[in-house]
Amino acid sequence: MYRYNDFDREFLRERVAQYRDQVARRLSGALTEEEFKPLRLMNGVYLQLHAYMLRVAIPYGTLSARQMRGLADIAERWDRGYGHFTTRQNIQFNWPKLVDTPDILAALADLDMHAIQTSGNTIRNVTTDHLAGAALDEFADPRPYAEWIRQWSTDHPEFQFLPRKFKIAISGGVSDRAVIRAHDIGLRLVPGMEGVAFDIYVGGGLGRTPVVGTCVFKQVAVGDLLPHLEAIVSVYNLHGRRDNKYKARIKILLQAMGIEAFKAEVKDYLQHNNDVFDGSELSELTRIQDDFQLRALPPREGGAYWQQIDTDPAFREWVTRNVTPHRHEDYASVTISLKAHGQAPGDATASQMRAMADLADQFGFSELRLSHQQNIVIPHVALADLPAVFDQLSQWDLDTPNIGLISDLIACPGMDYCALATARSIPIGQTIAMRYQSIEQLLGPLSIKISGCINACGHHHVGDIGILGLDKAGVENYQVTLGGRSGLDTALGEKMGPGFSEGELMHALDRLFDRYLMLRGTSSETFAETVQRLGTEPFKAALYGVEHAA
Amino acid sequence: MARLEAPVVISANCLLTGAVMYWGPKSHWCTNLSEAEVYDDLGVAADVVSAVADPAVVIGVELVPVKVSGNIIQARHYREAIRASGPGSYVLPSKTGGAHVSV
Repeated sequence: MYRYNDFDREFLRERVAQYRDQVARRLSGALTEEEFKPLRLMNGVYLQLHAYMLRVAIPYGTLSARQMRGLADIAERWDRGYGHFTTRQNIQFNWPKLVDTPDILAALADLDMHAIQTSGNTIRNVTTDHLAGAALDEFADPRPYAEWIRQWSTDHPEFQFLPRKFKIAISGGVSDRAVIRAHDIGLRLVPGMEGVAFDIYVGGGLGRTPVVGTCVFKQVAVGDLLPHLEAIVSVYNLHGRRDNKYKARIKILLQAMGIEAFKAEVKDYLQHNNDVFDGSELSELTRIQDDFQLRALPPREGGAYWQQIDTDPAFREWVTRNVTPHRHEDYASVTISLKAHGQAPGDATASQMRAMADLADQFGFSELRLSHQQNIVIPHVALADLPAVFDQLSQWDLDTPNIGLISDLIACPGMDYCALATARSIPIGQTIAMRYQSIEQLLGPLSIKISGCINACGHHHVGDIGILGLDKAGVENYQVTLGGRSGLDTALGEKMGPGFSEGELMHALDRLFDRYLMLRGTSSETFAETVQRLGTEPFKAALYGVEHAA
Repeated sequence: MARLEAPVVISANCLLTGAVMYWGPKSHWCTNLSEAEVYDDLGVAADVVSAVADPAVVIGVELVPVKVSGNIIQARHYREAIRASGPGSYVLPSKTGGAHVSV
């Protein structure tokens, strides 16, 4: 993991002191709310429906056991004893008091964490593959580059007031587990002349106008990465629309300019940003890479693992669902589901956070990850330790064997918390998870993604089944999309038709799943594969209760 | 956005905590919708907003349409109902008791 140095720590201390003074001035009346709001937002403090909310970045989803324990302490001391892990590898505290937020930020700084650029029209938390450094199919570890980009983008003087927020994701595997093509910039590590290079996708994004990112630059050398990012964001900063926030993202600019014109402008910019990048940034990358040397994992015999696999069906099921093969044959990556049936997706209590930190200390080299699917990962666990890990997880309600199944759905906070939401999403997710619990193994791999408004924080466009909550004449109404995909072949789901009330939605899903079970070619053909094979029409008919001849 | 119609209550968020507040009949802010002062005249309500919107105490002061039936005050829109009652009305118990947290 990246280790903060004195510069990093001093920077955070100064930011906390600055923010503490801003809060004091707001409370004394020296600052109006209008003046204070952008200042608190720059430090991740939002006002939601019922309370303030603090969004804390977990850069590229990596955190230490010590940091996880520190987050648990914050949850207990200043919040209501839990945290909500988000789809962008952040954690949100839903109930902090304004007056406490400087102390929370100080506590975060002590953990080498912060909430800077988790709001506002800036470059947000850089996200990546939660299996980075452990995945079998990984070509190169994306985390050092993610940290490099984090350092470049944090407090970047030119990019604090972009036309809109700006999201970057990076992936280093054959499979894309970071949904890079749904980001303003998606980076894919590929083989290059100097070992690695980057394919740069631009203009992806979900929200009101969903667009799949396009590969604009191929085979960009490592030394040219930051100049390219600087140039792309600068062109966006110059030409992106500021008159209409719904047309302000880079995806709209790219469509308006056309890819070739955009590329030409970026290349032109690259000609004169040579003085910004003099090569010293590459020595910083080298320093960062030293912190991310792949762990030398000692060989371990499987031992108890093989015995328990043979004799314990519950353990076997959990391994099948929640354990991923590792680049080292004696190890595996454990995904801890934060989706116990009926639980709010992504929530964890302080006790659960401490339990996960203890497990990481005991069995996982003190390292944890947060996936964009709102689960926690211990990336390096010896197979021999899996029985003990499973046993301890079961004591904390963290042993649900449902990764990739219907109850492993993702949902934004929705109108239970979010001031922007137009409908609730958490209760929809809870109801779905409970309703289909008994048949989820039968249904097999299936992704449901739920957003409580058009901003699509629940990524509904790229779910096998997407659900979008809207306000229709004062009543919650849920639109369904089918056939979305994340990954390098990202596809946007097709909107099926008029929305449903919450009650109607469950009946529509009943019919949809009945139809899938009837139409699938074999018991191993997934929902996504069946929809791809047959198209959406028979499933649309099922949703709306129309008889179908198939 | 639907046109604002009376009756309404005056709502805001507390500056210090962010908590949902309502202007009550005893000229102070309270936290229960059931204790809010109801205004049948939008003009009167707007005047009260001007008088009580102290930025050192509350932020985001707004008029919220309600239905009144006897002594019961209910928000007309579900967003306001959720603001009034808090999140997590669909919370289900966890098998370890207390693991569910969205309340």
